[in-house]
Amino acid sequence: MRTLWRSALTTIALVAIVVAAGAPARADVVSRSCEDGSRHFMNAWVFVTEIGPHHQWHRFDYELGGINSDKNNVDLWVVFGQDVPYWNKSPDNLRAGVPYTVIPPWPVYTWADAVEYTFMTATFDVFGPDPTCDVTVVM
Amino acid sequence: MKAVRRLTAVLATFAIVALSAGPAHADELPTGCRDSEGHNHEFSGWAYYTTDGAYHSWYEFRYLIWNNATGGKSNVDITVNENFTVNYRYRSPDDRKHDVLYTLRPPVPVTTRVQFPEFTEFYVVFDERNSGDPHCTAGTDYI
Repeated sequence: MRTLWRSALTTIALVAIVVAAGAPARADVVSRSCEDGSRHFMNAWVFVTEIGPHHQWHRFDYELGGINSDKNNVDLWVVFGQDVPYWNKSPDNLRAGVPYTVIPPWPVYTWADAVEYTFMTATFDVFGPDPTCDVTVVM
Repeated sequence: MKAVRRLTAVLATFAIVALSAGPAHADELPTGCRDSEGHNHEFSGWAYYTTDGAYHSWYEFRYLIWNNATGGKSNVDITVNENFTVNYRYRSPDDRKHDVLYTLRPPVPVTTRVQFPEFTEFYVVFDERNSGDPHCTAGTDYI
């Protein structure tokens, strides 16, 4: 009998752990795309995890398209209120059709009590002024 | 004693269900169109996605130009749309041949939110040997 009760209590504890662990962190990837006026474009994927009241931005992927040159670049900023907890500027050597990944070297957090977003801008290398396009991922 | 055993069995079942909750399942959306100028070029496209909670993940696209032969330099543009904004773009090279099934897998699955209308659109330009290039647009159903 005691063994059975112990087994029941163990099961209850297991259920409690499973239920408690069911919803703490939620990882999402948000896709966005932009295009300039000349059919040059950028696809972007932002990986952000919701952890209680804040978000952790842990990866940024992007690819360019519609451009033949190999001197394009992509800059990104994570913005939290008036702060920029992380930014990254690529080298001026990005090519179309190649997926690029940026992983911040430290945990980047923003909190839900202020405006929080990531802004990414692509600059396309063409003859003459370089056109741009940008995406914003708002949490 | 029997009651305790039953309770244990019920709780164990609940634990298993909780552990395996919310599996993603895959779906296919077919679409197609015919060229705009009556040359009997046809196009079929398929979009594949999974549903995971509040998101759809579009992980693969396939397309085929068929029926009357083209000049072999057709092209296909693909967009994935969420709430009528584009979340993903693709432009094929100008070398798409007829009767060849092409497959596109984005480097990362494209996410859209289930709360909005979402669909994939294919824009096709058929390389026509004897006249200007006809085109057509094929959109999947909204999900």
